[in-house]
Amino acid sequence: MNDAPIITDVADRVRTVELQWIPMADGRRLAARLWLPRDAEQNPVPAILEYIPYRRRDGTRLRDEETHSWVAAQGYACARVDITGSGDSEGLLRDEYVKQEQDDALEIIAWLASQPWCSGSVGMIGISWGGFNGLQVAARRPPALKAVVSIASTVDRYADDAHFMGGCLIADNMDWGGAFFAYAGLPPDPAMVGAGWKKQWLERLEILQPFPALWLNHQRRDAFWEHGSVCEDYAAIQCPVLSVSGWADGYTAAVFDLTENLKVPCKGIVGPWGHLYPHRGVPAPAIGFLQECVRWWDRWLKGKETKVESDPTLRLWLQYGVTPRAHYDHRPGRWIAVDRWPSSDVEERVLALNPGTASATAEKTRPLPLCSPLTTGLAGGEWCAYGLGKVAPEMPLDQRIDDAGSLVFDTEPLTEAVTVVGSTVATLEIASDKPQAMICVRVSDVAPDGAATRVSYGVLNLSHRDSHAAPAPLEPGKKYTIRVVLTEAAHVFAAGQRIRISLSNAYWPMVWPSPERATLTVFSGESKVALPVLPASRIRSHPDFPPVAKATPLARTVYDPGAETRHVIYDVDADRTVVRNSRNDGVARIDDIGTTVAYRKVKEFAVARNDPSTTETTVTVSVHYTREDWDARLETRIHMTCDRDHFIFHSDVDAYDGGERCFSRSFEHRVKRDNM
Amino acid sequence: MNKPANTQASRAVREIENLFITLRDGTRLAAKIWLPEDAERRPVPAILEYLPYRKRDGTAGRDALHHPFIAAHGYACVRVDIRGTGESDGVLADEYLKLEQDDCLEVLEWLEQQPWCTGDCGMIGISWGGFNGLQVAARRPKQLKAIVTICSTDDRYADDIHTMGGCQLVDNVAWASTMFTLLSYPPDPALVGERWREMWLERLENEPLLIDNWLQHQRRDAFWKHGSVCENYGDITAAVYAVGGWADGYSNAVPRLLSGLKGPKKGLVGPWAHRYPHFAEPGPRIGFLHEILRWWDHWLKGVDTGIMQEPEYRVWMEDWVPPAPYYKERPGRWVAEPHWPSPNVTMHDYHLAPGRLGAKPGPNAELPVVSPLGIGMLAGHWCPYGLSPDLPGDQRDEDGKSVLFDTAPLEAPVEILGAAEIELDVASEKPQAQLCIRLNDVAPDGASLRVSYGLLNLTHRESHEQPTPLEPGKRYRVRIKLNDAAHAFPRGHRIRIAISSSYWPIAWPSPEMAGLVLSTEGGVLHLPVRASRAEDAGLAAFAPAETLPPLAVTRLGKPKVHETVERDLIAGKTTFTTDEDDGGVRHEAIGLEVRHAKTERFDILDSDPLSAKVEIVHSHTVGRGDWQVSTKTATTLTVTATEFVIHARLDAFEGGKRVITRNWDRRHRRDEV
Repeated sequence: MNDAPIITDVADRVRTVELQWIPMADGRRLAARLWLPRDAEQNPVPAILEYIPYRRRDGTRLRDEETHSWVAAQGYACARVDITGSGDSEGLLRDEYVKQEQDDALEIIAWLASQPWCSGSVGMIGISWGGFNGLQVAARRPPALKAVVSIASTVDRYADDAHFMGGCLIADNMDWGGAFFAYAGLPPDPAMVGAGWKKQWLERLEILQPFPALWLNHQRRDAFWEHGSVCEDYAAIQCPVLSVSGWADGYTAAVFDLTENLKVPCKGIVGPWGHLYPHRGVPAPAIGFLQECVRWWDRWLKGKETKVESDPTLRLWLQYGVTPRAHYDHRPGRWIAVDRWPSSDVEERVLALNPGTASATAEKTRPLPLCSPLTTGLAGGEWCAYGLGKVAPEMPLDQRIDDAGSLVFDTEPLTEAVTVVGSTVATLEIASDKPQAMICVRVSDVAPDGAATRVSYGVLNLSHRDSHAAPAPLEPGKKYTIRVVLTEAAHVFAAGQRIRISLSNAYWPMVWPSPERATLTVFSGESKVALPVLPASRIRSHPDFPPVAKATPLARTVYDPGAETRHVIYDVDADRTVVRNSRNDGVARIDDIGTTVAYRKVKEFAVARNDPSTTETTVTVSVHYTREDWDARLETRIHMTCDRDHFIFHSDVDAYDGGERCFSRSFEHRVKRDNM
Repeated sequence: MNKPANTQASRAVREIENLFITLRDGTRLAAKIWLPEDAERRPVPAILEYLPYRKRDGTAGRDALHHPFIAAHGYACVRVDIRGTGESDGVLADEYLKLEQDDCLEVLEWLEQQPWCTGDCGMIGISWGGFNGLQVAARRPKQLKAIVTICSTDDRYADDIHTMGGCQLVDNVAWASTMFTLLSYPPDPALVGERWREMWLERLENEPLLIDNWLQHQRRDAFWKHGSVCENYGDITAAVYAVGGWADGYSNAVPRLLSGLKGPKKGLVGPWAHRYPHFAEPGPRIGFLHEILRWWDHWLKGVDTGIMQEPEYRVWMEDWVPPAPYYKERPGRWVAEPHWPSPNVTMHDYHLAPGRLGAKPGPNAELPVVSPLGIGMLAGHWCPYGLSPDLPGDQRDEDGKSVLFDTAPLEAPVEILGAAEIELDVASEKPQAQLCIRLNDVAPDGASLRVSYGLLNLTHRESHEQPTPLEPGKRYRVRIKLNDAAHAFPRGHRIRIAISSSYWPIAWPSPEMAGLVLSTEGGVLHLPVRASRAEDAGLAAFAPAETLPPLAVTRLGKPKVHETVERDLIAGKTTFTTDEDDGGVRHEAIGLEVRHAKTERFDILDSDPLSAKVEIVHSHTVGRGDWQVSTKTATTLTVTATEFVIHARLDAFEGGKRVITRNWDRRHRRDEV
């Protein structure tokens, strides 16, 4: 472990710079907040960059303070920079992960490396967006960038981001896109940028577009998504990468992709968490992640012998069975070590899918029809669980709810525990009566009392069976062999449980339904799944991480704690089901800057059980900033429907200054469905 | 065979809007009468429909579709308000009291004495009016020669809106709440004059809280035996035509009456919900007025219409249909049995094995059943009316939370007629528990259609009269009879039994979450399989549905019926809400404006049976010009581990001013429920 003592008296050792302008070559200035060791000018230190559009001043301020001031105290200069056009940074933010963003990062890194308080070495850390661009910028090889910590990120923007999964359109394209539509339209803080704030705001609004509609101009894996997908050329990354995620997160695949493919030192950690930093991780146990980061930085930015190279390639939270619940405060399990990935210790165990059963031997093939109600998937939980507020019911519910609309294949009760580590792969013999169809494959852990907990799942748009880049409609009635790779898992099926494989051809609201109601024929006996089984004798325990350490959070005055509500409403008359998820972050003042922030977001999904043309999603967001002399509010709404051939969007944005509307725009988009 | 009634001989009809029949105790019952204009010269038989649902405004619309038609064929149709309702004097203290029957006997005597009446009487009615037809027939008034009883019961405990299989139905309080408001309506001053207020106040001050009465009788005691003609079918000598619908809650009584009655009888069950078959949904509707005219002509006029030569029991054999909570029509066909029970129906046994229903017994397996509460959210209503989506929808959602037993895909169609029964061994962790058994038709694509269901409060496993707690852990053999059904399972479909340990909001759950363990060994489903009969093809068609022109009413607002099921995923709570408002109508002939609205809300948490809660609010307004009266009732029923807790309130307003408020807070011990 790290020899250097962990510094806990953070405040005395660190100096904070509230606003540091970083000049770009074209004259734009990007806003940064800095945490510097007080003696950094005398003893220069490496710099750690976190570079995201989520407003360092009033968006991520609390998290930044807990994290960066603590890391700074260990002898690092931490910089939290607003991406151009976000927060207080100048310029315009036109989309995710554009080349401009990376170009700016190269300049930021060079600027950091040249500061008198900087030793010349730079690391990048970030979760989600900041995890993505850490990898993307590493692939641009700025000379000062020596290491990256990338959390909850992706290597493949088409396969594993908030837009598509298995070539299916997922709810997060609207969910995240609806949120980003608001984020990209927020004003800079007049206390930072002065009287020009309003002009800057209106310029941002002037170019604002509803992203979900724009992204659907690219429904297949084209150059738009290849850009920023580091899997296109793993060799471009030449600095060490620590890749981290959680099983409850939507972004676990990158950990396995990176550890498998990078040629430079790369280690992976997957905990039980949702889309959160591991030292703030929910479900518990959270870990002493900042200590782990400092070990990483000390090795690669300071050249200390922290032995991170000798860490196992993967440290995984091996999860035990739990009863299905929408939220867990804690997931029972233990840490295990896996030396290489892919691991030669993992064996493929094939289960043939026979009518009603899954077993080692295949029975005579039988055609099993499958036409799931469109509401199959209601128990699917969130594609990406954010773990917010610790009460958000984001996890999959009792899978019996969805099994009701699925073909179900159960093993006999297990005579001994079975541990899986990695991805289950389903190979299905299947035919469809329509040219467009999808399939969802789930693996569940079924208790003797019938309760079924989802362990893993995968979806595939069947027109993408051969390629995401060149989808092709199905020929109705023709039998295809298709392969569905499920999400990675590390899970123990206890003795006495059953392993269940469930197939459905709907997975709403996570997946937008196919344009027509298709009936699939699944050929039993010939169809199978391969479980990645880690034999008990090869399971290697790993010690727990140190306990959570972080700096004292900033003070907030909470006026309204907010609430998270989740309702499923079935309208009997209309045979319409509505899923209404409302996130109200409440109203709170960040005391040290005096800004009061209110944020709320409602996402609503609706569908009638048998009619895909009734599918609707609406995402509304409201963000409100107030201070004595400032009152800025943004309201956005995106509504998405479809017909057989199109996706249809109506979007609105309204901005209010001092309660009076200062900007309003509506957008109509109609995008042709491309095999989706 | 199906000879037409004498439909040509239409006689001009005189309508008597209101006439008072004075009883021996001085009570005046209000009647509306339709009779041939020349009935005093050519007397006719009388047909009585005797209800608490207000002839003046409540049933006026449906009466107009029915009674003038029959009257034109030579009958006096008489629609009487039961004592304490409509324009009749007095107070109605409960359902089906002896007093109600006594009054009816006097009405029949009065009818016999009228110069326009031959002295022969019939009674017809749906629901309440179907019940009291049977009950009055069991009193054997000499005038009553025949009845038509529709959507009724012969067993007030087993098959009425209060209990099912010894479980307390949620409809028990819902129906009580409907009556709570109905009994608070005033008489129309246009008919009773200034006495209206005195009559109204008498009702308001004395009206019972029916749920309070009914929860005092949770087992099958004398309270329910009264008015249950099954106690002695031999009491009934009048000819009985029993009619029901498979979508209704009351169809079991039809085959049971056919089995039990000793006198002339006939049974008909269509695809209908709780409505008269000439305007019911799901269809097909039939020319029911023509059908009963043949019945009346036979029994009241001695005309040979051939009706008694036809098969005794005729039913709509229902085909598979994609499950939906509403159907305009149910596909199927008419079939008939010369007598019921019929040797043409035999019990076929299907044995329970884990996940399967098979021809041979399988190995034993102990299967736990602990269903999340709220599993019956898509069960439809206990008593559907068929007008809005109140039928059971696709059962897959609820099958997913149940223990299932499926046959292999059927190699040939299986047609059933009658009541399926299941026998199985069950043990419970707790002294109180219940079982819900659903019989479903599962299509190859997985869609699951409820064909029938049954409930059993396991403390009633031996008797509804002497329930006894379960000994935890002890294995009991129980037998559960499902509702009668006529259904053709198609080839390639599967027959499914779905078992759950609760069925809210159909029934109140047992007081504790009881883990049940089913033993499949010896478990068997007895299915009443009907062999096809070539004679079915030759059954005479019913006349097409015909009604008279509807009553002139003007809608004052848009009617709405809205039902939602809402899941709060954080609280783990499910709420079933019904929101109804008829929008108000003006009866043009009498200038009366009436509006009724109700909200029902049923709440439950997934795993706390004591969280079950029913809240029902009704409001009713009636007025004409300056005369404006409204009443509002609110009923809340909750439970503790040991009690039912009732809070109820009645408010009545005249011209916006409150004239009375009454509150009830009552608690009743749970009696093995």
